[in-house]
Amino acid sequence: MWLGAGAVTDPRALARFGPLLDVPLVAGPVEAGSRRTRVGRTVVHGLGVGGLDHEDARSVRASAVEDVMAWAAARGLTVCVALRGRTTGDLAAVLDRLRRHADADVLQAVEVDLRAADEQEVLRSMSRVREASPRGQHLLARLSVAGPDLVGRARSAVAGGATAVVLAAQVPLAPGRWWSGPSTAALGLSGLRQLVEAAREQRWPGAPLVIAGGIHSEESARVAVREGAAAVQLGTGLWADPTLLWRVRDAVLEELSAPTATPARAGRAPHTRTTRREP
Amino acid sequence: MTTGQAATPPGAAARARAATVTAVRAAGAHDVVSLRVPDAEPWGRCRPGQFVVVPVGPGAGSVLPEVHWVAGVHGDPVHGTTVELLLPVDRGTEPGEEWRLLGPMGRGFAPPAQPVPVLLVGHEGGAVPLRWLAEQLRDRGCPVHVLLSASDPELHLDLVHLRRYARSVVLALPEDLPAALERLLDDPAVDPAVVYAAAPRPVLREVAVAGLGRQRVVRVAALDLEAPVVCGTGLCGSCDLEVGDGAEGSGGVLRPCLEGPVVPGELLVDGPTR
Repeated sequence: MWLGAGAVTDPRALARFGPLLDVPLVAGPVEAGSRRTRVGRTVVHGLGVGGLDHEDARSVRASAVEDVMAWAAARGLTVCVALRGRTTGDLAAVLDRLRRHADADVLQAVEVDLRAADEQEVLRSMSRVREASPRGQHLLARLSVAGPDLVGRARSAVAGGATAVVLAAQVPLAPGRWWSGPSTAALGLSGLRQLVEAAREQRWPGAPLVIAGGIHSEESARVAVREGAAAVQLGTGLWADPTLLWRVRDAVLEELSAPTATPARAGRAPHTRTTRREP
Repeated sequence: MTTGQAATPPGAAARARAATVTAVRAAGAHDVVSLRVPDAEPWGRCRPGQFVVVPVGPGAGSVLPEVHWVAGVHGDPVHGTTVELLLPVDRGTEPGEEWRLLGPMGRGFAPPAQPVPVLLVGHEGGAVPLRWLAEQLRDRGCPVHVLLSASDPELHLDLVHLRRYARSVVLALPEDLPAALERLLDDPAVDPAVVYAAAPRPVLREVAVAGLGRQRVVRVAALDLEAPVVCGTGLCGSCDLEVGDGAEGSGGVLRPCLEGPVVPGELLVDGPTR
């Protein structure tokens, strides 16, 4: 179970609705050079049937993520950092700083935003992030389902060191603008099927797949797991109902533990790791 | 840097609660909707300035929840607890509807410790919290004066109710509001010790500047529910308000639906004009 960066911009808000012990808090998106102290001012341009047209969340500086890490550490929670960067050096610089923080052991995973990246850029970025990460660090590559050659980009992500692939089903409307909501479920499922099928045909090595987009109910999460997702990510669905998190979590765990669960999954579920990384 | 603590402390989980619409009464451009809630707790501690979120499911066709000010909470041993909301007429609320509510959310208006004169300033539908606040302040012995602005007289909020509890109600057009506010603040017959405001941010800033400039205590509800609200639960950040040193992105950030919505007026005066 993962939380979408940009949708949950302050974990304290979500903590009011239930325990977060088994859900990594999302921190960021963080980017070198940003001066912002808090993700915010979500801009929604319009609403439509089953979705909304919104701008990408603005990046924050590393100190904002460190605040979340300290808050999580005080409560025994874990954190997934959403990372952005114009260059591979930027990605590594932020990660290097976070690794040196006193509460670095709460970092359960790092999600690298590569929605706009091509195959080569995915490979370069993930390789650089892997170099800057400690051994055993979960690295998630966030890829856009709507982009070209999804299998090629997923292959590059794994070759670069990603331990899981996040399939972002948001529809690009313009640079920095996306369509999100339950209406993107079909796109997410198509990406999922494409990668599951490609893994079966050994066109890419395979990795756990996290579906991000269109998960707005327990049933849509169950369908995603049956189609081969190892985990789901909730974003704008939590805006409609923050209590959805715990209902979807229970549904996913139930579906994953069902004896009839599909064997089509492309890898082990990344969320099954619940212990903190060894320093 | 953040400016405060979450209004509901972590660990005190806010859960969705069932509610049934029992009555709908017309009040100008709004309907006064009464909701029966099964538990007296936590509604008994609810204050004006708090709000509720009505979550939606994907089947409803909408992707964003509804967010409404709490316009009153009444309870008695026979009829149970009733929550009042003021909703737009065009929403078409009908008695018998079953709702899920998240709330009451946020931090409400705290009444003054002594029965001092108070001035309530509101704008159109954003003045909903003042309707209930006027009731509570009057019950505490505070002389209540109300200043409302609206671009159309139809948009003034439930004036019959307000006139029942307020010593005076002054109506103004939005462009006349600053002058009317200054007149009331300087009027020895009003002489408010505390100014409460619930309105869009530019109006709140005017109120804060005028009130604090005259050494009055100013408390404002910094969440504008008349503007499109994305989540109402503090997740999205669309209501963020930059306060502090004023440099874009480098000052403090106040998230009204998480750390407010009621905050001291000083926070609005120190921040940059948005």
